Amino acid sequence: MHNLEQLIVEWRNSMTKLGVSSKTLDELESHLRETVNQLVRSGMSETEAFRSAVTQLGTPPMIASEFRKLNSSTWLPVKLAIGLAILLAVAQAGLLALRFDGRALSLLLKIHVWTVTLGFGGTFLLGAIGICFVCQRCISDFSQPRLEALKRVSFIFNSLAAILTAVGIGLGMLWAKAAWGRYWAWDPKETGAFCILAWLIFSTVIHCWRGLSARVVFLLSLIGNVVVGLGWFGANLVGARLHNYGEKSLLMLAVVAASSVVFFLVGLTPTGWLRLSKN
Amino acid sequence: MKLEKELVAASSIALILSILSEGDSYGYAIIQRVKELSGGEIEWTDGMLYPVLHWLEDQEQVRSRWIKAETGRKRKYYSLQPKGRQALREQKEQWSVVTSTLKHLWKPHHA
Repeated sequence: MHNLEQLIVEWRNSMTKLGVSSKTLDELESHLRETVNQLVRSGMSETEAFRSAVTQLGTPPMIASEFRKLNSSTWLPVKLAIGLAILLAVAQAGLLALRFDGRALSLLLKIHVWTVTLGFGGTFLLGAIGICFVCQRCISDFSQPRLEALKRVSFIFNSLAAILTAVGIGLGMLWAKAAWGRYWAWDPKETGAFCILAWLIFSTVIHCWRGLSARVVFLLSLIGNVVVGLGWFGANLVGARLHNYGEKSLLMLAVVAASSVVFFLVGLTPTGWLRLSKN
Repeated sequence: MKLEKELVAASSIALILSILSEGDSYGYAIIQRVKELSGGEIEWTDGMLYPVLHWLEDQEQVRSRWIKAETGRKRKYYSLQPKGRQALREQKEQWSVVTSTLKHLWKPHHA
C-alpha cells in the first residue's frame, strides 16, 4: 500500500505543476483508486494497476490542457468591478494630469495619490463583490468552478491593491521627505495607510492557505471595507493636520462600516436560506 | 472501438446527462456504465470525462457533492439539475434527428 501512496503523491505533484487545482486532483485521485482497486481484484500487482490506471486516465499534459479549456464565464459583479477599477484608474489619471504643474515633485505627489487611491478603491471594489457574493449565496449555490474562479479574483484584487498601496506609500514617503522634511511621522493618515497595507498583505497571504473557502475570502473582503473606511475616511475625522483634504464625513464612514457589518452577518447565514421552495 | 475525438466530445454531454437522469452518479461509475451499455465499444480516455462534468456544473446543469462511502472512500457525486434536464431534452431531439436520418440512408437497399 505504501508504494501506491507514493506513486499517487508523485502523480499529484506532476499534475499540480501543470496547474490542475487540488479539488480537481482529489476527484481524479478518487477515480484512479477505483480503477486500481478493480485491476488489483482482477489479479494485477498494485504498481502495474497504477500504471495502467494512469494510462487509461490520460497523460497529465493532456488532462491539464482539457481543464484549461474550461474558461468559465466571468461572474457579472466581477466584470462590473473590473470595469469600475479601469474607469477609476483612467478618470483619476485624467483629473491628476489636469492639475499637474510640470514640476518633478508635483509628479511624484500625483502618482502617489493615483496609486494609493487605486489601492484603497480596489479594496472597496473587492468588498462590493463580497456584498454581491453574500447576497447571491442566500438565494442559490455557486458552482465549484465558479467558487475557485472567485477565489482567484479575490487574490488578484488583494495582491494588486497591496502592491499599489505599498508603491503609493513609498512615493508618499519620498515626497514627504522633500516637502515636509521627514519620511514618516505617524500622522493619522499615515497610520491609517499603514494599517490598510498591513491588512492587505495579511489578506493576500491568507490565500495561500489551501483549505480557504470562497465564503471566508469574501467575509474577509467585508472586513477590508471597514479597515479601508477607517484608515481612509476615519483618518480625516481625527483631525489630520497634514494631509488636510478629503471628506470629513462621519456619515460616509458610518455607512461603509455599518453596511459591511450587516452584509458580514448576512454572509454567516446558511447557503440558500432565502431560496423559494420549488416543491 | 476507439471513437474519434470529435465524436466523443459531441456525444459525451448527451451520454452523461442521460446517465445522470437515471440517478446520481460519480465519474468512475459513469464511465463503467457507458462501457457496459455500449458493450465495450465506446472507450473514453477516462480523464476526458471530468472536464465535461465540470463544464456541466459551471453551466448549472449538474451539481456535485462529496459523499463518503461506508468503506471510507470519498466519491464526488453528480446530480442532474432542472437546467440539465432541459439540456437533455434538446440533446435527445438533436440526436434523434441525426440517428434517424443516418438509419434511412444506411438501410440495406441503399447499400
